[in-house]
Amino acid sequence: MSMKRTECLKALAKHRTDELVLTAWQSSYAWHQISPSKYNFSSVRTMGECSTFGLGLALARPDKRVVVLEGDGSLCMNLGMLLTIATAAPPNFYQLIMHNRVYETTGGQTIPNVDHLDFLSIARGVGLSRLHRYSDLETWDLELPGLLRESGPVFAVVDIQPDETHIFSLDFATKIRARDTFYAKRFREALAKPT
Amino acid sequence: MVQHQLSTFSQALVAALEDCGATHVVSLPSTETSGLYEVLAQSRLRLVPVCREGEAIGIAAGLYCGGQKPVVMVQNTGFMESGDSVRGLAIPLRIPMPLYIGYRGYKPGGQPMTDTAGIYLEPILKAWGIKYYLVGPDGDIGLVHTGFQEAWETNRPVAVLLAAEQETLT
Repeated sequence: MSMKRTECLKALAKHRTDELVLTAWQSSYAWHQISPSKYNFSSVRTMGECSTFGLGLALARPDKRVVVLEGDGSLCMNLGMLLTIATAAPPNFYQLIMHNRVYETTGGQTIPNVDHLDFLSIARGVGLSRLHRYSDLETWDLELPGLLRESGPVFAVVDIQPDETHIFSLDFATKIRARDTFYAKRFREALAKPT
Repeated sequence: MVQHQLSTFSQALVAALEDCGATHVVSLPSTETSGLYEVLAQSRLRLVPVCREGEAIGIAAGLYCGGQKPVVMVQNTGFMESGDSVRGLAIPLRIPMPLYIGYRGYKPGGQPMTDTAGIYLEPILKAWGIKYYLVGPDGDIGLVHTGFQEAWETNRPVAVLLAAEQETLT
Protein backbone atom coordinates (compact mmCIF):
# COMPACT_ATOMS: atom_id res chain seq x y z
CA MET A 1 0.00 0.00 0.00
CA SER A 2 1.21 3.50 -0.71
CA MET A 3 0.02 7.10 -0.88
CA LYS A 4 -0.27 9.67 -3.61
CA ARG A 5 2.52 12.20 -3.19
CA THR A 6 0.24 15.22 -3.33
CA GLU A 7 -2.15 13.79 -0.72
CA CYS A 8 0.78 12.92 1.50
CA LEU A 9 2.21 16.45 1.23
CA LYS A 10 -1.18 18.06 1.81
CA ALA A 11 -1.43 16.22 5.11
CA LEU A 12 2.06 17.39 6.07
CA ALA A 13 1.14 20.96 5.15
CA LYS A 14 -1.96 20.76 7.31
CA HIS A 15 0.11 19.92 10.37
CA ARG A 16 3.02 22.24 9.59
CA THR A 17 3.59 25.15 11.93
CA ASP A 18 6.95 26.94 11.73
CA GLU A 19 9.16 24.11 10.51
CA LEU A 20 11.92 24.71 7.99
CA VAL A 21 11.18 22.32 5.13
CA LEU A 22 13.84 21.26 2.66
CA THR A 23 12.76 19.39 -0.43
CA ALA A 24 14.83 17.38 -2.87
CA TRP A 25 13.90 16.99 -6.51
CA GLN A 26 10.51 15.40 -7.06
CA SER A 27 8.79 16.73 -3.97
CA SER A 28 9.92 20.31 -4.61
CA TYR A 29 7.32 21.51 -7.08
CA ALA A 30 4.36 19.89 -5.35
CA TRP A 31 5.47 21.13 -1.92
CA HIS A 32 5.91 24.71 -3.04
CA GLN A 33 2.42 24.64 -4.54
CA ILE A 34 0.88 23.04 -1.46
CA SER A 35 2.75 24.85 1.32
CA PRO A 36 4.43 28.02 0.02
CA SER A 37 6.65 29.62 2.67
CA LYS A 38 9.80 31.63 3.10
CA TYR A 39 10.91 28.69 5.22
CA ASN A 40 10.98 26.33 2.23
CA PHE A 41 14.22 25.53 0.49
CA SER A 42 14.57 23.37 -2.62
CA SER A 43 17.67 21.26 -3.02
CA VAL A 44 17.72 20.54 -6.74
CA ARG A 45 21.40 20.84 -7.43
CA THR A 46 23.30 17.91 -5.95
CA MET A 47 21.59 14.56 -5.60
CA GLY A 48 22.05 13.04 -2.17
CA GLU A 49 22.89 16.20 -0.25
CA CYS A 50 19.47 17.54 0.80
CA SER A 51 19.64 15.74 4.13
CA THR A 52 23.19 16.85 4.85
CA PHE A 53 22.16 20.43 4.13
CA GLY A 54 19.28 19.93 6.54
CA LEU A 55 21.59 18.43 9.13
CA GLY A 56 23.81 21.51 9.01
CA LEU A 57 20.76 23.72 9.33
CA ALA A 58 19.45 21.74 12.30
CA LEU A 59 22.81 22.04 14.06
CA ALA A 60 22.95 25.76 13.34
CA ARG A 61 19.38 26.45 14.47
CA PRO A 62 18.42 24.22 17.40
CA ASP A 63 15.43 26.54 17.95
CA LYS A 64 13.85 25.41 14.66
CA ARG A 65 12.55 22.04 13.58
CA VAL A 66 14.06 21.02 10.25
CA VAL A 67 12.06 18.67 8.03
CA VAL A 68 13.77 17.09 5.03
CA LEU A 69 11.80 15.48 2.19
CA GLU A 70 14.36 13.37 0.37
CA GLY A 71 13.79 10.70 -2.25
CA ASP A 72 14.78 7.06 -1.90
CA GLY A 73 17.20 7.35 -4.82
CA SER A 74 18.90 10.30 -3.19
CA LEU A 75 19.27 8.41 0.08
CA CYS A 76 20.76 5.42 -1.76
CA MET A 77 23.36 7.74 -3.24
CA ASN A 78 24.48 8.83 0.20
CA LEU A 79 23.64 6.12 2.73
CA GLY A 80 26.66 7.01 4.86
CA MET A 81 24.90 10.21 5.84
CA LEU A 82 22.70 8.19 8.18
CA LEU A 83 25.76 7.43 10.28
CA THR A 84 26.72 11.10 10.24
CA ILE A 85 23.18 12.07 11.30
CA ALA A 86 23.16 9.46 14.07
CA THR A 87 26.45 10.84 15.37
CA ALA A 88 25.38 14.48 15.35
CA ALA A 89 21.91 13.50 16.60
CA PRO A 90 20.14 16.85 16.47
CA PRO A 91 16.80 16.56 18.29
CA ASN A 92 15.19 18.99 15.84
CA PHE A 93 15.87 16.96 12.67
CA TYR A 94 13.16 15.04 10.79
CA GLN A 95 14.23 13.05 7.74
CA LEU A 96 11.28 11.85 5.67
CA ILE A 97 12.21 9.50 2.84
CA MET A 98 9.76 9.57 -0.04
CA HIS A 99 9.91 5.95 -1.13
CA ASN A 100 8.48 5.31 -4.60
CA ARG A 101 11.07 2.69 -5.55
CA VAL A 102 12.17 4.38 -8.78
CA TYR A 103 14.40 7.11 -10.18
CA GLU A 104 11.47 9.22 -11.27
CA THR A 105 13.33 12.17 -12.78
CA THR A 106 15.05 10.03 -15.33
CA GLY A 107 12.02 8.06 -16.43
CA GLY A 108 11.14 5.66 -13.65
CA GLN A 109 14.04 3.21 -13.65
CA THR A 110 13.91 0.83 -10.69
CA ILE A 111 16.27 1.42 -7.76
CA PRO A 112 18.82 -1.42 -7.49
CA ASN A 113 17.65 -4.40 -5.46
CA VAL A 114 14.62 -2.43 -4.29
CA ASP A 115 12.57 -5.54 -3.50
CA HIS A 116 15.03 -6.38 -0.73
CA LEU A 117 15.78 -2.84 0.33
CA ASP A 118 14.89 -2.13 3.97
CA PHE A 119 15.72 1.44 4.92
CA LEU A 120 14.50 1.02 8.49
CA SER A 121 16.92 -1.84 9.11
CA ILE A 122 19.76 0.23 7.71
CA ALA A 123 18.78 3.21 9.86
CA ARG A 124 18.48 1.00 12.94
CA GLY A 125 21.87 -0.49 12.14
CA VAL A 126 23.64 2.87 12.27
CA GLY A 127 22.11 3.73 15.61
CA LEU A 128 19.04 5.77 14.73
CA SER A 129 16.19 4.89 17.04
CA ARG A 130 13.21 7.13 16.16
CA LEU A 131 12.05 5.09 13.21
CA HIS A 132 8.72 5.05 11.41
CA ARG A 133 7.13 3.80 8.22
CA TYR A 134 3.90 5.12 6.75
CA SER A 135 2.04 3.49 3.88
CA ASP A 136 -1.52 4.76 4.17
CA LEU A 137 -2.86 8.28 4.28
CA GLU A 138 -5.08 7.82 7.28
CA THR A 139 -2.27 6.69 9.58
CA TRP A 140 0.11 9.33 8.20
CA ASP A 141 -2.39 12.10 8.80
CA LEU A 142 -3.23 10.81 12.27
CA GLU A 143 0.34 10.37 13.47
CA LEU A 144 1.98 13.44 11.92
CA PRO A 145 1.33 15.81 14.85
CA GLY A 146 2.99 13.36 17.22
CA LEU A 147 5.83 12.68 14.79
CA LEU A 148 6.68 16.37 14.54
CA ARG A 149 6.75 16.66 18.34
CA GLU A 150 9.14 13.75 18.81
CA SER A 151 12.68 14.41 19.89
CA GLY A 152 14.87 13.55 16.91
CA PRO A 153 16.66 12.68 14.91
CA VAL A 154 13.56 11.12 13.40
CA PHE A 155 13.80 8.87 10.35
CA ALA A 156 10.63 7.93 8.50
CA VAL A 157 10.00 6.03 5.31
CA VAL A 158 6.92 7.30 3.49
CA ASP A 159 5.63 4.93 0.82
CA ILE A 160 4.30 6.89 -2.14
CA GLN A 161 3.28 6.03 -5.68
CA PRO A 162 5.28 7.12 -8.71
CA ASP A 163 3.38 9.92 -10.39
CA GLU A 164 3.59 12.65 -12.98
CA THR A 165 4.63 15.52 -10.72
CA HIS A 166 8.18 15.13 -11.98
CA ILE A 167 7.16 16.70 -15.28
CA PHE A 168 6.48 19.96 -13.47
CA SER A 169 9.40 19.44 -11.11
CA LEU A 170 11.89 19.50 -13.98
CA ASP A 171 10.76 22.97 -15.02
CA PHE A 172 10.63 24.04 -11.40
CA ALA A 173 14.18 22.82 -10.77
CA THR A 174 15.41 24.72 -13.81
CA LYS A 175 13.74 27.87 -12.52
CA ILE A 176 15.21 27.42 -9.03
CA ARG A 177 18.69 26.78 -10.36
CA ALA A 178 18.51 29.86 -12.57
CA ARG A 179 18.03 31.97 -9.44
CA ASP A 180 20.16 30.01 -6.97
CA THR A 181 21.73 33.00 -5.34
CA PHE A 182 18.41 34.77 -4.85
CA TYR A 183 16.68 31.79 -3.22
CA ALA A 184 19.62 31.01 -0.93
CA LYS A 185 19.84 34.67 0.15
CA ARG A 186 16.08 34.89 0.74
CA PHE A 187 16.12 31.73 2.84
CA ARG A 188 19.04 32.92 4.92
CA GLU A 189 17.47 36.32 5.48
CA ALA A 190 14.20 34.69 6.54
CA LEU A 191 16.11 32.70 9.13
CA ALA A 192 17.88 35.79 10.39
CA LYS A 193 14.64 37.64 11.14
CA PRO A 194 12.86 37.01 14.42
CA THR A 195 9.60 35.11 13.95
CA MET B 1 44.42 4.59 17.23
CA VAL B 2 47.74 5.90 16.00
CA GLN B 3 49.12 8.49 18.39
CA HIS B 4 50.62 11.66 16.99
CA GLN B 5 52.42 14.42 18.74
CA LEU B 6 50.25 17.49 19.17
CA SER B 7 52.18 19.56 16.70
CA THR B 8 52.75 23.24 16.93
CA PHE B 9 51.16 23.42 13.49
CA SER B 10 47.89 21.86 14.63
CA GLN B 11 47.73 24.16 17.62
CA ALA B 12 48.47 27.18 15.45
CA LEU B 13 45.87 26.11 12.88
CA VAL B 14 43.12 25.72 15.46
CA ALA B 15 44.09 29.00 17.13
CA ALA B 16 43.94 30.72 13.74
CA LEU B 17 40.49 29.30 13.00
CA GLU B 18 39.25 30.45 16.40
CA ASP B 19 40.72 33.87 15.76
CA CYS B 20 38.90 34.01 12.39
CA GLY B 21 35.58 33.44 14.13
CA ALA B 22 34.98 29.96 12.75
CA THR B 23 32.29 28.04 14.61
CA HIS B 24 32.38 24.49 13.20
CA VAL B 25 34.95 22.22 11.56
CA VAL B 26 33.21 19.75 9.26
CA SER B 27 35.74 17.07 8.57
CA LEU B 28 36.89 13.60 7.68
CA PRO B 29 40.30 12.73 9.15
CA SER B 30 43.37 12.66 6.93
CA THR B 31 47.00 11.91 7.62
CA GLU B 32 47.87 15.55 6.98
CA THR B 33 45.53 16.78 9.72
CA SER B 34 45.48 13.80 12.06
CA GLY B 35 47.05 15.68 14.92
CA LEU B 36 44.35 18.27 14.68
CA TYR B 37 41.54 16.34 16.30
CA GLU B 38 43.07 16.24 19.75
CA VAL B 39 43.64 19.98 19.59
CA LEU B 40 40.11 20.56 18.32
CA ALA B 41 38.70 18.64 21.27
CA GLN B 42 40.19 21.26 23.56
CA SER B 43 39.00 24.25 21.54
CA ARG B 44 35.69 26.05 21.33
CA LEU B 45 35.29 24.92 17.70
CA ARG B 46 32.64 22.26 17.22
CA LEU B 47 33.70 19.23 15.20
CA VAL B 48 31.13 17.69 12.86
CA PRO B 49 32.53 14.34 11.69
CA VAL B 50 31.32 12.96 8.34
CA CYS B 51 31.56 9.64 6.52
CA ARG B 52 32.18 11.06 3.04
CA GLU B 53 33.57 14.42 2.03
CA GLY B 54 30.61 15.44 -0.14
CA GLU B 55 28.53 15.39 3.02
CA ALA B 56 30.83 18.01 4.50
CA ILE B 57 29.94 20.50 1.79
CA GLY B 58 26.19 19.99 2.33
CA ILE B 59 26.48 20.28 6.11
CA ALA B 60 28.66 23.39 5.87
CA ALA B 61 26.13 24.96 3.47
CA GLY B 62 23.33 24.29 5.95
CA LEU B 63 25.36 25.63 8.85
CA TYR B 64 26.04 28.81 6.89
CA CYS B 65 22.37 29.30 5.99
CA GLY B 66 21.60 28.91 9.69
CA GLY B 67 23.96 31.75 10.56
CA GLN B 68 27.15 29.89 11.51
CA LYS B 69 30.71 30.14 10.18
CA PRO B 70 31.85 26.62 9.33
CA VAL B 71 35.04 25.47 7.65
CA VAL B 72 35.55 22.22 5.79
CA MET B 73 38.69 20.19 6.46
CA VAL B 74 39.39 17.19 4.21
CA GLN B 75 42.18 15.53 2.28
CA ASN B 76 42.73 16.27 -1.41
CA THR B 77 41.36 12.82 -2.30
CA GLY B 78 38.18 13.69 -0.45
CA PHE B 79 37.99 17.11 -2.02
CA MET B 80 37.95 15.38 -5.39
CA GLU B 81 35.18 13.09 -4.13
CA SER B 82 33.14 16.10 -3.03
CA GLY B 83 33.23 17.68 -6.47
CA ASP B 84 29.51 17.56 -7.26
CA SER B 85 28.64 19.14 -3.93
CA VAL B 86 31.14 21.94 -4.46
CA ARG B 87 29.75 22.48 -7.96
CA GLY B 88 26.10 22.21 -6.99
CA LEU B 89 26.01 23.85 -3.57
CA ALA B 90 28.99 25.93 -2.52
CA ILE B 91 29.60 27.75 -5.80
CA PRO B 92 26.06 28.49 -7.11
CA LEU B 93 24.60 29.34 -3.72
CA ARG B 94 27.48 31.78 -3.17
CA ILE B 95 28.42 30.28 0.15
CA PRO B 96 31.58 31.51 1.86
CA MET B 97 33.27 28.18 2.37
CA PRO B 98 36.87 28.04 3.58
CA LEU B 99 38.27 24.66 2.53
CA TYR B 100 41.34 23.38 4.39
CA ILE B 101 42.69 20.58 2.25
CA GLY B 102 45.39 18.12 3.26
CA TYR B 103 47.87 18.00 0.40
CA ARG B 104 48.65 14.29 0.12
CA GLY B 105 51.56 13.71 -2.22
CA TYR B 106 53.00 17.20 -1.93
CA LYS B 107 56.70 17.54 -2.59
CA PRO B 108 58.47 20.69 -1.45
CA GLY B 109 60.90 22.70 -3.52
CA GLY B 110 59.35 21.92 -6.88
CA GLN B 111 60.25 18.25 -6.74
CA PRO B 112 58.06 16.20 -9.09
CA MET B 113 55.06 14.59 -7.38
CA THR B 114 54.32 10.91 -7.92
CA ASP B 115 50.99 10.63 -6.09
CA THR B 116 48.06 11.47 -8.39
CA ALA B 117 46.20 12.92 -5.40
CA GLY B 118 48.84 15.63 -5.38
CA ILE B 119 49.39 15.88 -9.12
CA TYR B 120 45.77 16.66 -9.95
CA LEU B 121 44.86 18.87 -6.99
CA GLU B 122 45.95 22.30 -8.18
CA PRO B 123 44.82 21.76 -11.80
CA ILE B 124 41.36 20.78 -10.52
CA LEU B 125 41.15 23.85 -8.28
CA LYS B 126 42.14 26.01 -11.23
CA ALA B 127 39.59 24.31 -13.49
CA TRP B 128 36.80 24.98 -10.98
CA GLY B 129 37.89 28.58 -10.49
CA ILE B 130 38.65 28.09 -6.80
CA LYS B 131 41.38 30.35 -5.51
CA TYR B 132 43.89 28.64 -3.24
CA TYR B 133 46.85 29.23 -0.97
CA LEU B 134 49.58 26.81 -0.01
CA VAL B 135 50.73 26.40 3.56
CA GLY B 136 53.97 24.55 2.92
CA PRO B 137 56.44 22.93 5.29
CA ASP B 138 57.50 26.38 6.46
CA GLY B 139 53.93 26.73 7.75
CA ASP B 140 52.83 30.29 6.97
CA ILE B 141 49.82 30.17 9.28
CA GLY B 142 48.76 33.65 8.21
CA LEU B 143 47.34 32.07 5.06
CA VAL B 144 44.73 30.30 7.21
CA HIS B 145 43.34 33.76 7.94
CA THR B 146 43.73 34.89 4.35
CA GLY B 147 41.73 31.97 2.97
CA PHE B 148 38.99 32.36 5.55
CA GLN B 149 38.62 36.08 5.04
CA GLU B 150 38.67 35.81 1.26
CA ALA B 151 35.95 33.19 1.28
CA TRP B 152 33.75 35.55 3.30
CA GLU B 153 34.63 38.59 1.20
CA THR B 154 33.88 36.85 -2.08
CA ASN B 155 31.08 34.47 -1.00
CA ARG B 156 32.88 31.57 -2.60
CA PRO B 157 34.87 28.51 -1.64
CA VAL B 158 38.54 29.36 -1.13
CA ALA B 159 41.06 26.60 -0.48
CA VAL B 160 44.05 26.54 1.84
CA LEU B 161 46.27 23.58 1.03
CA LEU B 162 47.92 22.08 4.07
CA ALA B 163 51.25 20.53 3.23
CA ALA B 164 52.93 21.21 6.53
CA GLU B 165 51.45 18.74 8.96
CA GLN B 166 52.72 15.59 7.30
CA GLU B 167 56.26 16.62 8.20
CA THR B 168 55.41 16.37 11.89
CA LEU B 169 53.94 12.86 12.06
CA THR B 170 55.71 10.56 14.47
